[in-house]
This record gives sequence, structure tokens and C-alpha cells, in this order.
Amino acid sequence: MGLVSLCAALHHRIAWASRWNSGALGGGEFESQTPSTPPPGTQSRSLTTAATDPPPLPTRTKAGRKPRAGRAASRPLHASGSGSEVPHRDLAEHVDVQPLLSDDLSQPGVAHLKFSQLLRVVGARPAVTGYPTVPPRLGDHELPADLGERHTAGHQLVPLGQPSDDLLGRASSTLLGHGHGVPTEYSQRRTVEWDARRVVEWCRGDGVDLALLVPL
Amino acid sequence: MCHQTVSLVARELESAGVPTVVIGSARDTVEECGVPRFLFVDYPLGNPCGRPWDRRDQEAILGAALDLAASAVAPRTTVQAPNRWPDEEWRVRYMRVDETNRAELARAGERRRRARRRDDGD
Repeated sequence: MGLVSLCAALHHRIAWASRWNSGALGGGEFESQTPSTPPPGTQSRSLTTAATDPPPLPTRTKAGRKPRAGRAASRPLHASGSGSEVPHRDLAEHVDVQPLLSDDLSQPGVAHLKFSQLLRVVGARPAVTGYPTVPPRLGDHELPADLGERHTAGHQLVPLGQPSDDLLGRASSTLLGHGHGVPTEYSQRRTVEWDARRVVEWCRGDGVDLALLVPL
Repeated sequence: MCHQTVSLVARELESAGVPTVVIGSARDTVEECGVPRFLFVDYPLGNPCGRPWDRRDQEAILGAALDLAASAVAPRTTVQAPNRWPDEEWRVRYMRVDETNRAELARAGERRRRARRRDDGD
């Protein structure tokens, strides 16, 4: 008994798995990288002090996300896309900045900082002023993406949207209405130990009997 | 491209009991990885399922993939699809950048970056 006839008895469905260049197209299946537990809160500070004791300094605690461990640690924060693998929104979340600031001039360094601010020696600057300048010699680093976009411009990357009844009748199949994508990890271990296993889970969840895989 | 990624996924699916057919255009990469069933489509990268907007071509390739799923009896079976890209000179021109298309590519890239910045801002 051939594969398709066996599958026909099961009235199987077919899923296709493809790789997309853009996370916007294929990244929807990946788990978001939200922490599993809420970040530890800052320590509560008592405001009651003895009359003769100096006021306690604010506790300088670091409030950060729970460190990732195990498989999660080896997983990229962004499955696809260029640039920093750390989302910008996470950069300032590892340190509770508020306890580090104070207007108390008696604290070491604060008076010096305030005086420097008055003289405009130091001052607050916006953290991000715009997109960084691309060095001329690296100006073509966008070219592959430009070419890729032109190559598939306006074209359904995996054109399996409406296959004819004749085609599906050949395999007595039904086509699953969605597909799954995996990124290029540039790591065989990561692809095998993470992405491929996710695809297996997805296909098992979909109950597919045949997977068409399309590299682009 | 990502033929190696997809080939590794195919091997993992097969080991889990899910039959696979890889439809790709980088024959050396896929065969080096070793997949059970591979339909080789001799098209420019990015078009393994057929020419854009050519439904007949796309269905022919998909049909060949289904036939391969039914007919392959041994691992590492490679079948070459008979389909031909209309322009026989595509290998010479594929991904070529010269003065004839540099400005057009730059404009397309700028549109893409603008769209990406707009999306990132949302």
C-alpha cells in the first residue's frame, strides 16, 4: 500500500511548512518572550527613623526579569529580523532607575551633579535620536533584502492557496488552511533542538499526514 | 538560503513519523543534508512552487510533489520537476546588480525601509 493510498484511508490533511524571510510574515507562530513570572518588585522602604539617626539611604535594588534558563536561554529573543536580539523595550527594564535618583544634596555626588547641571557641563540627552548612520562601505547591507523583496514582490510566497479540486483529488486530500514557518537560525543545534521540534508539535496538533516543506 | 534549515526540519518530522516532501531549488544543499523525498525544481531561488501568478505551473509542481510522496520507495529519493523557467538566461541575471537596476533597487529598498519604520512605530 502506497503512502497516499494509506493516507487516503485516513482522509488526511496536508500541511506545508515554509521559511519566510520576514518575521512579520512567519513569526506569528512563535511564542512571545514575555516572562513567566512577574519581575520581583522593589523592596519596600520604611519611612520611620529614629530621631538621632540619619535618614536611611534609599535601597538601590535592581529589579529585573527572571533570568532565562535552559532551553529558553538558548532561544533568540527575536526569532527573525535584523538588529539587536534584545528588544528595545527590554533594555531599561533590568534596573530600577528610580532609587538611583535623589535630590538630597547631602548624598555623595549629588551636589556635584547638580552643580554640573547648572553649569551645563552635564545634562540629560535623549537615549535614541534616530536611526544610526550606515557607513558607506556597508551601505549595501540592505541589498539582499531589497533583492528578495523585488524577487517575490506581490507574490504569494507559497502559492498553495486555492489548488484545484483535480489536484487535491489526486491525493484524496484536504489542504490545511494555514502553514508554519521557521527562521534561519544559522545554528544547526538550534534548528534541530528548537525549531524542528516545534514544527513537529504543530503538525501533530494539526493532525497532518503529509508535510510539504518549501525553502525560499 | 534556508534549504539546510528546511532539510533539518524534514529529517526531524520524518523521525517523528510525519512523511515529508521538500520542494526546493538548491539541489546540492538538500541532497547533502539527506532528506527522504526531494522534488528539485530548477527555478531561481524563491520560486520553488512555480512562477508567480502562473497557476498551471504551480499546480503542476504541487502535483509532482504529491506524486513523489506516493511513489518514493527509498530514502534520499530526488525527482527533478520537468518545468522550465521561461527565461533560459536567468542564471546569468539572477540577483545581478548593475547600473541598469541599481537605482530601481535603491528606490525599492527605501520604500521597504520606510514601511518597516512605519510598522515599527505602530
